[in-house]
Amino acid sequence: MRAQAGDAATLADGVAVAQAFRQEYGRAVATLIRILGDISFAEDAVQDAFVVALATWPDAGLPPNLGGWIVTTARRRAIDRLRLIVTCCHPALAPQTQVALTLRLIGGLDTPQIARAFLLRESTLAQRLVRAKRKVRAAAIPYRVPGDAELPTGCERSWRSST
Amino acid sequence: MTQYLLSVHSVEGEAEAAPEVMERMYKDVDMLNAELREVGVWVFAGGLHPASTATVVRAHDGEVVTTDGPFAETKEQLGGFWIINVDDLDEALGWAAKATVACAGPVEVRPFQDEV
Repeated sequence: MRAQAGDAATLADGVAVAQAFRQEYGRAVATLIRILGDISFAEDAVQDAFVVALATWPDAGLPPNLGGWIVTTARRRAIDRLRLIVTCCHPALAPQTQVALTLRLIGGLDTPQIARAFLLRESTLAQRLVRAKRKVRAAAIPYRVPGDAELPTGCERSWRSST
Repeated sequence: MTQYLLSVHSVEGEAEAAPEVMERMYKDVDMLNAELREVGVWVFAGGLHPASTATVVRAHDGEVVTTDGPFAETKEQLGGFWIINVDDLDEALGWAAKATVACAGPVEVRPFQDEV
């Protein structure tokens, strides 16, 4: 018997999300590639959106337009991630701090892993990350996607038209 | 909004710039000040007399002692500053870029603590 998408049981065990994944994944990735201009980034964003779906659909129920929900969520996640990358790599932070912060916040590595990569003591790196986060907050390093004028030539991306 | 201190440090003992260079600098700084006011981010700005004119006052064991000269005996001394009120660091850095050109020296950008 084929599970009926939307009933409580299929939602709870993720069957509905799996069905949506098969139906919508390709189209959503295609849309996101058009928005972001990058295949891997588009795939990451759509996969992020399905992770959100797994977490929220069982409680909230299926959204009326599955494909639309996935694309919208993926786009938001992608822009959030871009903003975070921009913040982590802000020139007001020392280059090594930029890398450490990016590995921590974007790459999801933990402090001991990053410390090993930098051949630093864990406490040293932890201190550096704390200082960096404090500076981001105190100096109000912005959390946003920069405008074209702020980017080096050639970095303007088509996704801006949709942000 | 965050307030930032844009400070300019002069190196004591360094040869002074030629008068025409100084004059251009004053004019450029005036223009920048006018722009800061026009845009509405200006809080305060000023240039300081040399550090040799400074006096330090400190309380020590309940006694107040006054000494001649700057607090830190370094060659680099605060020469002038702006205080601006802007949205974020990028905006502050944008003004700092104009400030460093206008005053022909490095500009340090530092956020103020939030008002309590």
